[in-house]
Amino acid sequence: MLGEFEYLVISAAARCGENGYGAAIREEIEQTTKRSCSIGALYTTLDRLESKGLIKTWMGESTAERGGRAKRMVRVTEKGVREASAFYREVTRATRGLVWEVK
Amino acid sequence: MSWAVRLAACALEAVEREVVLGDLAERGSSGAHALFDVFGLVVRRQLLIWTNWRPWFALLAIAGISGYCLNGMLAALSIGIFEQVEAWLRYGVPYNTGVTSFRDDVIRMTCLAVAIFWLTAVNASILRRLSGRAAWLTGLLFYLVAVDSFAVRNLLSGAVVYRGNVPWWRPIGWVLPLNPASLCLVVFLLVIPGICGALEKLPAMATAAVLSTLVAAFVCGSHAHDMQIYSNGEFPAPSWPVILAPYAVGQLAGPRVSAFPAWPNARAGNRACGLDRTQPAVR
Repeated sequence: MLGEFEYLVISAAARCGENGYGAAIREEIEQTTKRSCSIGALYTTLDRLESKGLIKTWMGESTAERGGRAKRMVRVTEKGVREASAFYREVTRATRGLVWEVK
Repeated sequence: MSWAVRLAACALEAVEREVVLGDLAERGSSGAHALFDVFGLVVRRQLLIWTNWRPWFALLAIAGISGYCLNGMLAALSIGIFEQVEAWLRYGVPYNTGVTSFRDDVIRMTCLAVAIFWLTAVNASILRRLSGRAAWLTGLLFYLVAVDSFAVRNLLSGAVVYRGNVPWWRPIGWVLPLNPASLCLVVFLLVIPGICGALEKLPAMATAAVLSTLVAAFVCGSHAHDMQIYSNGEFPAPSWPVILAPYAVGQLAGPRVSAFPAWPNARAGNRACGLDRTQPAVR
């Protein structure tokens, strides 16, 4: 089963679609969660997800705004989609009928 | 982007460095925040390396055991050289033990120097292969153990006691040999072969392993023989087949295994020099 941050990364990568790469995924996570995401956490998680076969990464093109440096492109694999879907179902099932309110 | 960020990123692999610096440039990150980001990734990468058994094995077997053995051999060699140099400078004659000839002593010290050189090279090569990106740390510890474990052991055992005010630079002298004689020994027998071995610059490392093994075995046998003579036969020197057997097994198992032959050498070397407190001193 995926971890929470792994799920966030896969979700962000899936939302970015064909344009998913390190900086874009980081931006997506920070906008979604309203928390900062460190480069260290992002890239070590990407490595772990890739070793599990949940995402595929490759070196993309370089752009001027990156100072001519290449991007690490990310795409979610079919296995990754299945795992993320399973994680979402588990969390939904675990929280079904619960109302989180501080009394 | 600041030079500090680019410098910190040097600890990353080339491909990852390019990606990370590109990400930081795209976000416009700079200064302390960018530096903190890069350091975070570097630390995580270094920690991840240690989840594998290989760097731990390198740390224990090469930096620990082989480094300690090399230290014993280095101590035996430096004492041998010191005795000769002191005898020449003070009395103008070669140091003579009364048991072995000057020629034998010179041959033995030369063999010991060659053995240290090749063992260092082979161990450094294996250390780098096992450690990967943690080689800077395991290499540093290998150096420290090879250079300083003798001094540390003497201090801990009480064999050497500093009285009065210890000069502030004394601890630096343990880590970095400051006097010319020690510096030459360390540079030519540890640093140069260590760097060459780590960079795989020495041809045919397997040949080096065989050579170092044979030389080390010779040195070990010589010291053991000396010890038998000095102790009037109380210390039974192992026979040549017994000495050579582990090395033969090591050679059959491959050059990597044979890089760990120094333990009995160092023990015998220490005994011969009277450095091993568990054995009777011989001088």
